[in-house]
Amino acid sequence: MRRMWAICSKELQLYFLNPTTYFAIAVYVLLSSYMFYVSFVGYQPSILDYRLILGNTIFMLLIIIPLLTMRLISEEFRQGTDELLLTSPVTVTEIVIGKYLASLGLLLVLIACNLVYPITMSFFGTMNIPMLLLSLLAVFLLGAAMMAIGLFASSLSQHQMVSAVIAFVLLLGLWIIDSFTMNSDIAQKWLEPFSISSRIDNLVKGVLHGPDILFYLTLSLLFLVLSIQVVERKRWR
Amino acid sequence: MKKWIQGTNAVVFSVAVIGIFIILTLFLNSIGTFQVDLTKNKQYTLSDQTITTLQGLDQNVEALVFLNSQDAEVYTREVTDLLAEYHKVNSKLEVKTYDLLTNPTLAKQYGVTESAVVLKKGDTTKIVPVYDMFADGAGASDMSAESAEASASYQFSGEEKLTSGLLSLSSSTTHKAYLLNGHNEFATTDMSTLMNHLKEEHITISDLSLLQEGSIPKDANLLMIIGPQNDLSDGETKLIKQYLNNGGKLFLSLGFNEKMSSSWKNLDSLMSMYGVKDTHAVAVEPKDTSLYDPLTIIPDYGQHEITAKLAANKLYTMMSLSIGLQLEAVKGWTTTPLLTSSSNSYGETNLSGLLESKTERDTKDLAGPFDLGFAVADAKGEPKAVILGGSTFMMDQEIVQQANLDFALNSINDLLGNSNKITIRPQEQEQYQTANLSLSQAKIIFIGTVIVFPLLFVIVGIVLWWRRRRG
Repeated sequence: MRRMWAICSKELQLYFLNPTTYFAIAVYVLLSSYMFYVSFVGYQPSILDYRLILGNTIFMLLIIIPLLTMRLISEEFRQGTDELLLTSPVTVTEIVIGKYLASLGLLLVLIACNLVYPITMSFFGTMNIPMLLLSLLAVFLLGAAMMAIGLFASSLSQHQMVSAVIAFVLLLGLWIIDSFTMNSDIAQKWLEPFSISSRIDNLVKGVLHGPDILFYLTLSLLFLVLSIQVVERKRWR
Repeated sequence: MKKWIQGTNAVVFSVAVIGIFIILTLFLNSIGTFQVDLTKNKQYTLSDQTITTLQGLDQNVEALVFLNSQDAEVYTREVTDLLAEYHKVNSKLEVKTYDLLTNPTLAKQYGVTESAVVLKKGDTTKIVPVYDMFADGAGASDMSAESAEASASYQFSGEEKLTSGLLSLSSSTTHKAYLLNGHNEFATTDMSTLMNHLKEEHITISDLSLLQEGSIPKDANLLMIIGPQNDLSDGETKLIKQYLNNGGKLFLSLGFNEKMSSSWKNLDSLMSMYGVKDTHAVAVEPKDTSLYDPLTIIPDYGQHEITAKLAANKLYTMMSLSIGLQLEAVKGWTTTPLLTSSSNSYGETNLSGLLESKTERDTKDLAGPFDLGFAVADAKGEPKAVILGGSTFMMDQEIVQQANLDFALNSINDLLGNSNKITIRPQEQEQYQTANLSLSQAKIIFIGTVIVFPLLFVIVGIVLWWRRRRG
């Protein structure tokens, strides 16, 4: 546990002492803010509904998460530091989870940035707090699953950009999986449950739907296990 | 060799984990409404009636949602969100969403020209326009993006409309009820909300003048007498009793009349057939125990199927100007109280004083509690009659209060043997808040969020980069 925290702490330092992270967050915030401005101020009178803004900001995660996770493991491979890690007393599980927790820390920063919008809205009327909290929970769960996928993609290549592209393709596939099923009832029935984007619909409308929450948790777990398997392969090769 | 075994193990393990994930996701997805609704008015908790209707679907029903992309998102998403909840209850209801503008041929096939939900079961279709699901605010009259989003508030009655649509697809049994007139009863126009709901539940109501018709039509499943002011004639009473003795059913709700104690001989005799005695006094709830005016009573429910779900969900019926009734058991009939006033209530006998808003308790008044309604069943337990002390709760302006509509519909459905329709019906929902922003406020928001906020991160990034470069 202590070793896992050490890895997490090291990764967090790498994140927050790296200027690139701040530039990436700035781009994320700039685009999110612009979308917020268009949605909230663009139509008058403004509607005090965070859900109208959320759709645009979560789409930004699709682009930013591969960029934020691409470095996590592939950088170790590129620099050869993976050998040091793998021969140290730290287990692969601790390495992967440590790095994943660090990415969740970064995700919390992104969510905190998103809080600026409902706070701005609250100056003009009363926000629906339970729905707001559920929306933030939705973003966290979705982001956490996406971070796990990004981490897995990072374990597949020593080239950061390749990892980012793999993560983007995987995420995009799971994001739009339900649109492949428009013309087939059977495909819809079997593929729709795996859509990561439509799974947040219940949470953002104010319904704490058990299967959705379990889906995000098990999806995160699945990609963490797969990441562990991929890194483990390095150890015995 | 060792590497090969380890490699195989890893692949098998990974495949197993992926398999478990897929099966678990599909299984959890089939569970349906394993959820907690945290919305303000439990907006996505479907009503009893909707759940019963959905569970009763015996074959696949398609809900084809045609949406005009010009319509405001806040409106159209209400419809799709709600139908998603329907799908969770029964996957036999399949929801398909189409853009009205990009699917004109399909829309034309169903005769859809504006945003609407087409409910389709086999060859039978029912169109529920999205426009009809909204009331009050600009959204009801104009669904264009700008004006709809500009409306201050709206009420959404989508659940009521969609469930009625499903009911009309599913039910083929129709009932015929006759509403007696000629005694200053309430007209159907005074009770249009109730009449519309009865129509949606396949209960056809026709006016009946016994003086003109001379008999109760043979197709009558139910005779309704609502709010009579004057007594029935001897001839009419004879015909009604004859109809009832031949298996007919009665829904009788009294209406306050100043001279009822002296002139309601035949109405009283009709009620007494089933052991119900009219006290000719108006039930009054003293001011100190009543939230509303003393003549509006929130009665306790009796133990009956009509009221069981309403009582369990603490939904009350509001009876105003109701006449107190008493039970005098008659052999052969089971008479069950449906509504009872509190022990603080009393029966005002000074009816002329009541008309001048004088409701002081005096020695001539009767002591409460009173029953305000009864359900009568025969020896086999078959529903025979519902007799109520008041009728005003069924009028358009009062029926929307609390459980008035549910109580009225449950009573009528119980009499007609529609026990599967004795439920709690969907309620309308209040919606979002809006704010008018001034130009200066818009500028502050732009500068704060689009310029200053991202710039803060850029500055931190530059400082770090600069320190690294120097360090």
